[in-house]
Amino acid sequence: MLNKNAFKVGLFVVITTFLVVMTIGFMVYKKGVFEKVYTYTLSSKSGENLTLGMPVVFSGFTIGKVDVLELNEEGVVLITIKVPKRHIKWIRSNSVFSLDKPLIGAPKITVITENLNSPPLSPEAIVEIGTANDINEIIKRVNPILEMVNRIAANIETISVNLANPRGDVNKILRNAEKLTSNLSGKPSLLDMAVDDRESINALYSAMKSTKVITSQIEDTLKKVDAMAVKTDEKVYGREGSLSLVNNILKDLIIKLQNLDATLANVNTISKDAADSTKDFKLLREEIDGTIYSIKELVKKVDDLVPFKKEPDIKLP
Amino acid sequence: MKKYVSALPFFFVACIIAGCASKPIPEWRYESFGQLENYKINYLKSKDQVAEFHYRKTLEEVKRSGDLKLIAKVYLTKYALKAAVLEDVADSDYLDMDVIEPDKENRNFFVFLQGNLSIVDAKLLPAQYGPFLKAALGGKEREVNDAVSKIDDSLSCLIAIGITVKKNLYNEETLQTAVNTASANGWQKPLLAHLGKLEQYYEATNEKAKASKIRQKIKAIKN
Repeated sequence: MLNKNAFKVGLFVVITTFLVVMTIGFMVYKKGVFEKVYTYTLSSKSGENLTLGMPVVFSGFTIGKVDVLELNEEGVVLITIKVPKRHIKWIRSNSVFSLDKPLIGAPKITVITENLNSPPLSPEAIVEIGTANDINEIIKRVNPILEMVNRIAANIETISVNLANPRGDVNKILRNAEKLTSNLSGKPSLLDMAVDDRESINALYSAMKSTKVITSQIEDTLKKVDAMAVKTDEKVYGREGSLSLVNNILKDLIIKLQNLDATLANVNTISKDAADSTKDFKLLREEIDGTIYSIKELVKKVDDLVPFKKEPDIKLP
Repeated sequence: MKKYVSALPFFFVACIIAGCASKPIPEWRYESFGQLENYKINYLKSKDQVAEFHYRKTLEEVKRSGDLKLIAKVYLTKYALKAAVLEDVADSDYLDMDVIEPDKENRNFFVFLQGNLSIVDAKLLPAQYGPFLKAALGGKEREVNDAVSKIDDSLSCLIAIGITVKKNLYNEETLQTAVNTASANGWQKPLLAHLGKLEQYYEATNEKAKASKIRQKIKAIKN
């Protein structure tokens, strides 16, 4: 009984071991460990992007890998690649080797063979490797576009910020437009629209009316002056005469009036600025309040961390 | 013994943990205390606007608790400060609180501030005023000066001198003590008040040169 069981166990162990060894052997065989490997030597001016174990690719299939990288006496990088026997048919004397750096993925050495009928590459030959630098080429081309995109994005951001900001230009324009249209619809005249104060308008109207009266009076006076002028001598309207003096005074008056106008415009601007500053003050005040509150909170938290602290108690002084 | 020594570090750690784990102080207490201290300092430094702000905040915080005795204490602190700078005490705020919720200790301090020393209960008064009260009841200026100069807390010292002035128990030395105390602390308000009082004192005792000197000093400080 015991012998029978021992035999079964022995058989099981032997079969399992055999199967394991067979499987490993098969895998190793399939991996091409027993296959003869050919060695070729390539050269490159730079070892940049070259790594050990880098794949050698033909038509998208890996046919070998980089085995040794070394620098010779002339400063040229020598790349030794290993190709199994079953793949050497792809490597011919007119094959072109290039270092391919794709945009995505690891760099690889690509083999291009135009004529598969040409003689096989001699293992002693040293073939120079070319470089196909995808990334840099693409970056060079893409860079200006990226800059352009950046600029556009910045512009869009400015516009959107402006749109979102209630104090932004766009909103200001909109508000002004709204105010203007409401003014337009609400005011009986252009003057009402420009000046928002009824009293000033009335004053202006009455001033204009009195101007009419004054003009007519002046006209009368001028007629009289005309009449007089015929009779008056050089003294009146000569270079030193009273009329020219009056003229000068009038000119002076005009200049002064113009100055007054500018001053009024300034006063307008100043009052507007003052209104804006008040808004800023409010904002500043709020910000200061907020900051002080945060600091206070922080101080309190720090204070809470102090152990054995005496509890504050209001006592009579 | 060794066993206990080895347990010491654990004891300390336990203490620290207990300290950390202690209940946090309620915000209103913390705030009101800080604001009241700020009020006192700013008031004494003649920064009236700032002081008024802190006083308002103190009341705001204390009122959150609804503790009328504490509110009364804040009012009494204000009166005490007024006494320290020789100003008259307006008492309506405190009396309102006293009517609603009378408190012996507060009432006693209020009476003390008013200068009715004969009915003040020394046991209910803050401890630092004990010797002063005794001396003041004795009515001897020298003893009063002695008692006042022995009060450690500068503010309490000025409050006591304020009461002394009110009771007319002072002399040159009393006022000098007040001037020196205020000056050492940089408290301009009581300094000017007591210098003014000192000037009046010299005028009354016909010491014109000294009075003039004090006047010049006041002018120099105010400028």
